[in-house]
Amino acid sequence: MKLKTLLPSPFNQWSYQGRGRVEVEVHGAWNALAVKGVARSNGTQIRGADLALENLSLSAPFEWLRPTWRVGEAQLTALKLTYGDKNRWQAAAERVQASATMDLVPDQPVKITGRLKSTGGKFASPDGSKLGENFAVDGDFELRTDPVKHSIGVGGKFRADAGELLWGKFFADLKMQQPVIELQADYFRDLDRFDCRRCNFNLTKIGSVDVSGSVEGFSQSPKLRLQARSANFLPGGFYEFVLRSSFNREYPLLDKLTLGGELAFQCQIHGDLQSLITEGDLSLKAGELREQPEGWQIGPITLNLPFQISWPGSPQTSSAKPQIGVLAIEQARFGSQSVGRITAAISLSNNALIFPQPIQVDIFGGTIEISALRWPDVINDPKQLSFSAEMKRLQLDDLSRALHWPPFSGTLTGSIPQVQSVGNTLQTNGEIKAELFGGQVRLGKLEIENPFSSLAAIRLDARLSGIDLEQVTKTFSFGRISGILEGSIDDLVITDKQPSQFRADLHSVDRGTEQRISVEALNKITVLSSGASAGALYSGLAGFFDSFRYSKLGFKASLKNDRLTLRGVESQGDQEFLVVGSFLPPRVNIVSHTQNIAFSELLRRLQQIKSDKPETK
Amino acid sequence: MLKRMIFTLIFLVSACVTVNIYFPAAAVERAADQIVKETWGGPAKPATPVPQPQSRSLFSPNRFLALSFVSEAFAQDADINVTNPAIRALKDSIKKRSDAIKPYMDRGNIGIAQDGLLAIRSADGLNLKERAEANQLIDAENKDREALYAEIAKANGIPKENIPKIKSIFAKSWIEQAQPGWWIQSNGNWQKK
Repeated sequence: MKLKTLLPSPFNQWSYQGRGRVEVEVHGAWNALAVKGVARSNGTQIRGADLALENLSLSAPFEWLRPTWRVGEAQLTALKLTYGDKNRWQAAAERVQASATMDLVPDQPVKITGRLKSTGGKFASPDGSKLGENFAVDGDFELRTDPVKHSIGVGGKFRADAGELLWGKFFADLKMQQPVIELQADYFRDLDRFDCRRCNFNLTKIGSVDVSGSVEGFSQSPKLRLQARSANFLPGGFYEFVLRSSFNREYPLLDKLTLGGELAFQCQIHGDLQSLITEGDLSLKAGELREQPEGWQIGPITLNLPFQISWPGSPQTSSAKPQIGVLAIEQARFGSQSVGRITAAISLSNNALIFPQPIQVDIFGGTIEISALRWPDVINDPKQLSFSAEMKRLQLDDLSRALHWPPFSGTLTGSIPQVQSVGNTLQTNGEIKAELFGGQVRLGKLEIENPFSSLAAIRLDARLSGIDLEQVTKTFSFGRISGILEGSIDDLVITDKQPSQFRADLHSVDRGTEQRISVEALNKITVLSSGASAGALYSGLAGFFDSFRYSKLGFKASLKNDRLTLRGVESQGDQEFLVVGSFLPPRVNIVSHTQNIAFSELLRRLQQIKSDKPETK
Repeated sequence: MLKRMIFTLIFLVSACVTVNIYFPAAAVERAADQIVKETWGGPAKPATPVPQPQSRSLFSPNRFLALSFVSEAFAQDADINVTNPAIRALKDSIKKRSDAIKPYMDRGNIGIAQDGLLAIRSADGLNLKERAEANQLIDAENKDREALYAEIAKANGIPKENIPKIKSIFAKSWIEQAQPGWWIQSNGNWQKK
């Protein structure tokens, strides 16, 4: 008990239970005594308010050669070490093994060097949402205490050969990453300052980051002034390790994405933990973004970006002119389409990611130009963005091939003066004009709801004019109909790649051109509107005629909640005329008596007309 | 005299004021039973009788929606729409995920909370990888369930304020159709079904 009172805090507050033995050998002249011995302890238990140790074994050979005390190759083994309690962070280790050598010279810094090995390490947050288990850490260390400067120096290199980490939804098996920390740092007790001369963090499949600098107010309110740099940071490794496995249940698309390239950065980090400012440069070489297997691919990507960001708080307004970097994409491929080199100026300042000059993409035989692309606060609100777009003569046959649509012919031209995030919706103004099927389709009020979710919905209105039905029916293998179609589709919503609602009014207009409909087209309209094939009837007629004149065709339709209401271009009582024959015989009308069709039934009918062999006459 | 007549007239008219509260509770119940069965394959439930719409006085604290004077228009209690592409996609997503969640339910690690959402009941027997997976599954599943309720409301013109009612009805179905041996939360306590 008396020995305990001599120990410094907190060692004097702990309870010790066990036996120790000290063997001492003294020899030499009185004024030049040499002391040599060994201190041993076995099975000692230690208990403190926060700490418990089941079994401590110690073997510490010591030597006093005036004026130096030396403890050489002391061996310490501690079993079942625990720290903390239920209401705070807890840490534990099954076994901690240390060997250490210490030199103690009066008025000189104390230096302890050795090796530390810990197995079965674990930790837990108070709520149990952050856990670590099975940590195996091994490394050399050096501790120095300088009584003059009141400082403690820490140096060492530690490697975790094993360990599992749970951080909310994030799980990591460290065996594959073999994290290594190298540390050369000092803590000045009087100044409460932590100086990191060199700290290096390395993960095998991600790369390494060097940090140096100081943290003032280390134990109270830390204020950072650090430099960080990396020359070999692998974004693909970071994506696989941190993002994909944590979010793939929510966004299954992540399982198909791969990232490549090597990132280098250097930056200064300063401020307190509530408002850190980070500024520096980053560069990406051979970057690549790819959808597996054999989907689209963007890259190689090269990026040089000076940046200045604030986090976690909002940025301060700044009048400083942002520095401009360059983004270059050598190639991009979407299906059979390739896009050549794209270069764009880029800046990231005050959390605003801005492309100050238009980005021009030559694709689908035309050009897409995106201007004023900006994220006002890419750190705190990355879903908010705005831009404008202009499409010039995109070839629809190229576009439809890339999207695996039926081969459309025509061009797409349009201008969207502004696309802007409003809540969870990307809203646009302006109009996209498609020169399509000999006529025009104007798309307006384009909106994308929840664009960054797995259930994005596209909403738009369409106006059709001067559409050549012959081209349409040829494209969709719908028999042959000649004539001109006009009309509108309002409130069209496409969700999960399917139309979920619309109101359509499409009808032929008589411009003095020929208006004829083939037997095959008549049959397909009949199948679509009634579900029944009128093949026999038309075959009978078709024995004499390939096609018939019509005076009007069209429909009014609305879709909501999988119910399609189909009305004709003309009504008589409960009869809805989808095709009104001409006055001259032979006259063929298609009359619909059922106006409500379930979406599943409509799909069945579409499948039916798709599988029907065209009747060639 | 005239004043008295006007007062009497106003009294008679106001006495006949009826508020129809139309929240298609029975239809939502049927839809919930059907969706839970389709997605998680619960036991079939006998059809519930179609209740009449509830009628409350003008001064009831729960009133909203339609006011009708004199004549009381009973809302039809037809089935609500539970098929459109968004609802189908959410149902598919829930159904696909159910096979991954059920083993955790069987082992008692995940339970059904009072609000019908999933929650970790006990992490006993789970390693950290499994705990992370359970957390991810719960998070994704609960987001899909909340989105499903919002889509059902949207598809049927049910005001947003009533989404909690839909959630509560669905909670009943998730709990009723839970398999024996699964854990259900009741009054803050977990109980084995």
